[in-house]
Amino acid sequence: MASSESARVSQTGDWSERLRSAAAKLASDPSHANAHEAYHAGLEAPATVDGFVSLNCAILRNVTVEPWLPEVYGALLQRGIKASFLLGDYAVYERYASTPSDLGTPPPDCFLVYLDAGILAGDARHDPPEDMADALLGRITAIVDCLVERTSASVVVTNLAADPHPVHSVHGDQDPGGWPHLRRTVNAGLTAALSAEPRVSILDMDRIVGEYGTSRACDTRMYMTAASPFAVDFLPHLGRAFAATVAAAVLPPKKCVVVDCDNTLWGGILGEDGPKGVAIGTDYPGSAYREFQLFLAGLGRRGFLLALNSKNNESDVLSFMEDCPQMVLRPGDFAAHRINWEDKAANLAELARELNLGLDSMIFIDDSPFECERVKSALPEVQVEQFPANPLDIPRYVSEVRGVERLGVGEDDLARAESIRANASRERLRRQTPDLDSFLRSLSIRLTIARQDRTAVRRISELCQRTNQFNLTTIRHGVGDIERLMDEGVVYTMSMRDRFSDYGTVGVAIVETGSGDRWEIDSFMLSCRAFGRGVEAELLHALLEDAGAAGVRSVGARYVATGKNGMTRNFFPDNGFSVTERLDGATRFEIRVGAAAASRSDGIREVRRVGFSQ
Amino acid sequence: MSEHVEATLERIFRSVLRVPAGEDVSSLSAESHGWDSVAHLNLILAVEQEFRFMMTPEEASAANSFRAMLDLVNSRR
Repeated sequence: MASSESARVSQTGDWSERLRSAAAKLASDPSHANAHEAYHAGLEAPATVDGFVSLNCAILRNVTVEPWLPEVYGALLQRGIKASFLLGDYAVYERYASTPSDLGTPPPDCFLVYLDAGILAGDARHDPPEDMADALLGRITAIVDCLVERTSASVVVTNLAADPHPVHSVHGDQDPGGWPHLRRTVNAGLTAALSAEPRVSILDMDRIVGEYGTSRACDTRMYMTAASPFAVDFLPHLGRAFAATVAAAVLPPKKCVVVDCDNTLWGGILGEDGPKGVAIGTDYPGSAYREFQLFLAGLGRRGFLLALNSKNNESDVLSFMEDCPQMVLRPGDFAAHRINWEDKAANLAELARELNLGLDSMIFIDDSPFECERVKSALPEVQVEQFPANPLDIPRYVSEVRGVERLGVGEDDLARAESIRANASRERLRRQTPDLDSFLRSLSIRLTIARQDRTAVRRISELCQRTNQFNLTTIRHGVGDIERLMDEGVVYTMSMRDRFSDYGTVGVAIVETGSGDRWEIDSFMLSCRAFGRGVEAELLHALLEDAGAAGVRSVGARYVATGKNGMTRNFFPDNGFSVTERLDGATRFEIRVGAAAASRSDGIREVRRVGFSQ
Repeated sequence: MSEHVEATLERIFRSVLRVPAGEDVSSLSAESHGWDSVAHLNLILAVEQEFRFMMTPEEASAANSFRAMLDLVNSRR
């Protein structure tokens, strides 16, 4: 019994993997043949597959939609929906609307109504009678009303796109009764008539075809010979648009958008570049980030909760957001925040508990592939939408971000969002770290720690100039200083790569060797690109081992507070150093060499040392 | 070169017509099981997309076997 149960589970597990990989293959190479492969894999799969919502979707149409099905299927798979399609005969869509049971069983979860404008209007396009807009609008709304009344399914209805068979507008573009204007009149009427019906979603096919370009989207040849309106290269776009609307209509709605700050809410890094150095405002690139903030503000008005999850000093972010005149969103627009140096996945789990939301109702937006991957692997229920690195890509990103298409937010949702925002509890919740080390291991972090690398002098000096947050003493050494320090002491550099990228030199430690049996750490810093991985301990460990090999008895160090480097206050004590002196704004530490090792993460794949004596 | 075309065409036919691995593709025609009018339309679209050319309606309806499709693709390259 137990064994057959586990066999069954592993088989559906295999199907999840097969469907996921078919969807991924299609996403990377969206050819019609690959779409068929994904579609056929799905047809062979069992009725329910782990990790996918099964959806029975009926399509009422007046054209040949069959060639679209693989692309629509593939796009739905990418959103975690495993669809099956029920196609009505194409001439009798109105009968299916009035007698839905004629479509067969099981009853559909969702109806998709696609009506081609040219075929719907027929010959009258050439000389439209005066009441034509009303007549077309009446026909479409009658179908939708029937479906709403006679089924409990969601209904997605497309509006009228330009068709591949345009007619000559005898009176030119200014003719309000001509077919092009009339089609748009019908579309406006559809929006007005159906927007209040909660089970109905309008899919703006006119916009989707327009964005791609009518002449590129349409295939006149296939329209005239096979009643198939669209060109094959347009089908992936069509598939994505259908899937977005269908998913918004049938999936439980998302409720909360959790965003990163640096290089997401604004350009640049607040802790490094300072309030005057980051980009937000009406000039590029700040204008691109402003666009994103306006988008989030709109979501807030529609009832979404917003939250912050950022690696930063909390007071820096909050006072910047409060004071910066260009900022669209203020701290009060966010229902909750976690601005700290903790693991972002743990922060997200806490935010969910504080806001009393399920993880599956949250969307996480961050520009860092590291953070995105971390959250995906620790909290697979959270929808992760990686923010673009290039500000020019932000407007497109904003228009396509998934999961926020929820339509018809009710008064209740708005009131609820408001009350959560107002009452958001600030209680400190028990920290939950969903196994950070195993995630770090999955990244295959490789470090190279080099001793006295004279080729890196320029980069070392740059890090000294620029690093503000993880910098124990913040001494701004120039190129000449570094060369001298290499002659008189020891300079260590650490470079890092993982399976996402090569980060180059991310850490520097500089030691004054003095008389020989006592070393003093002059500088110790880590680029913000390498935060959160525990790699700083590796650099310190290498330094201490090197000191041991040189016969050094003790190593001194100090922390000099600057207002930006608060995160490093406890770095030395956390790694076995004891306090020897507290001065105004600075603390001195010391460690006996060989006494205690630095607390190292076991998530680092490999540490290579270059230029060390052994 | 033409062998490469044939292999690509075979992959498309397998994907679109759902022909299991190990079953012959080269002898398929519009008479074969699974090759109906919708499948024919899908084949035309997939082949045109892969080889970046457009068939006339006459060419499309004459391409009613694997061999005929292969000859058409070769003649347009």
